[in-house]
Amino acid sequence: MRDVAVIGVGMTPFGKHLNRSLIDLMLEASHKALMDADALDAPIDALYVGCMASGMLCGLQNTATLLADELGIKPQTVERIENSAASGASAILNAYLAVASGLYDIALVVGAEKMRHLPTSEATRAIASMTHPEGERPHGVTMPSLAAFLTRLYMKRYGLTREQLALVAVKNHRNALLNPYAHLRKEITVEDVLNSRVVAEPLRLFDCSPISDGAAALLLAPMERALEFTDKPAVIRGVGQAVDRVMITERDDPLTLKAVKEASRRALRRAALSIDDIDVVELHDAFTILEIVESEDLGLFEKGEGGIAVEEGLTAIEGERPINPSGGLKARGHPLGATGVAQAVEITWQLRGEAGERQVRDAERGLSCNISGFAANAVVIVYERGW
Amino acid sequence: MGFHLKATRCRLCGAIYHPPRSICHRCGPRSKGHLEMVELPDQGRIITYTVLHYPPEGYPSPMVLAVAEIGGVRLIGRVVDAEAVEEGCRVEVVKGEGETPFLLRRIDVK
Ligand SMILES: [Zn+2]
Repeated sequence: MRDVAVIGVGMTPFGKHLNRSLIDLMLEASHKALMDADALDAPIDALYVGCMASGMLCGLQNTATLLADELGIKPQTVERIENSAASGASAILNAYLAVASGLYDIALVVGAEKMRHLPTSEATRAIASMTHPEGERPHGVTMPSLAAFLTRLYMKRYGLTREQLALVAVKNHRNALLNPYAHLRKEITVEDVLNSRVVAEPLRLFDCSPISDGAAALLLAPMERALEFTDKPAVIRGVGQAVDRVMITERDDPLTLKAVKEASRRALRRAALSIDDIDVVELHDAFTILEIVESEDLGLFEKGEGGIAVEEGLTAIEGERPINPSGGLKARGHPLGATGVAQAVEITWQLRGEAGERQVRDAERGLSCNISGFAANAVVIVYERGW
Repeated sequence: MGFHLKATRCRLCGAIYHPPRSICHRCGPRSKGHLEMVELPDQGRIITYTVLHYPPEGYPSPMVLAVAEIGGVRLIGRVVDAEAVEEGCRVEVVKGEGETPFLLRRIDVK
C-alpha cells in the first residue's frame, strides 16, 4: 500500500442554494479543489461521488457520470457511493483504496446533497429513509426521535444536564461564526437553545443540525507525487470503518456507539497513533448528544464525562481537545453526502494553518468521524501534515 | 385485550427477534432454517420514551414514542391514549392501524 495525500480541497458555502442544481454545486467544489492543487490539466484517473439521495431528493441518478461529463473529465472509474449520511467519508475511503493500491494516481472525491428546495416534511422523509424499514419507520420513528431516546437514557445514567447539552450547540455556533462556509453563522446562548421549540423531548430545535445544500471536494494523489501539486500535502495516515446493529434497540448498550469505537480503533492502529496524538477532531454532531457520545467512543474522554468536558471548555478551539472548529454539522450545516468530505476539507485547512480565525494552534494531526444511520456504520480517517 | 406479536426465536442460541427474522444476527448465516415462530407476551415495560412534536406526515402531533421491553425483546412503538409516560410504567401491546403493525397502551398501575 502506498501513502496517500490530500493535494487539493474546495467546497461551496453550505446553506440554501435554491437556484442552483446539485451538479452545479458539485462542479463548484470540484473546480475549487482542482485549482487548489493547480491540477486543472492533470489527468483524473477516478471520480468518487458521495451522495446519499440524489434520486429521492433531486430525481437524479447516474449522478457521478453526469458530473464527470459536465466537468470535462474522462476518468477510468466514475462512481457514486451511498452510505447514507456517511456517503462522503465512504467516497474518500474508496478513493483512498484506489490510490493506495497503486491502481490509480489522481482521484477526485466529491460529496454533495441538495435538500432545501423540498418542503421540510419531504426532506425529513428522505432523511428518515435511513431508519429501519420494519422496526422503526412504520411507527413514525425519525432521526430526532432516536437521538431523543439516546439523550434521555444518557442523562439518566450519567447525570448529563440539559445545559451541558446546550453548550455543544453554543460552542459549535460560536465556531461557525468564524467559518465563511458555514450555514448557521449566528451566535446563540444556552437560553436560546432551551427556549427553542421542542422537536422530540428533551431535544429542541437548536439541538439538531439544519437541513442544508452544499458540496465539498478533495483531490488525492500518492504521497510520492504530492509535491508536484502542493507544498502542504495532508497525508491520510489511517482509515477505519465498522458497523453496528442498525436498530439501537438491538444494541447491547445503546449508549456506546460500537461502530465509532471500532472504526476509530482501526484507523488509529493503521496510523500507528493514539487518540492523544490528535490535535483536532471533526465529528458527526447531527444532534448535540452525538457530539458527546462520539467524543467518548473516539477515546477523547471517559464514558460519562463528555458533558463535563464541554462545560469546562476542553472541546473549544483553544481547548485541549478541539472538536468541530468548523461549526460541525450543527452549524456548518449537514448536506448529508457532503458532510464527510467537508470534514476532510476542514482538517486539511487546519493542518495547513489556513483555517483563519478558527485555527487550532499547531494542528499537526487530525481525525474525522462520519456516521451513517444512527451510527450503524462509521468511517474514521486520520490525517497528518506531510511536509 | 392485549395483542401477541409474532417473533422468531433462534433454536441455536435462544435469541428472539422482532421484527421476525429468518437469520439470527448472533449465529450468522448458518442459522438460516433454525429460527422458529414464537409469540411475545402482550405486556411489557417502558425503558425510555420521547414526545415527538414533528412526526412524519400522517402521524399525530405530538405523539409519544417509546422503547418497551416485551418478553425480553426491546421494541419501539407509539403509545396511544397517553399524554405522558414514565420509565418503568407497564404497557400492553394492542393491534395497530394502517401501516403501523402495533401500538402500546399504558396500563395504569394500581
Ligand atoms: Zn442464534
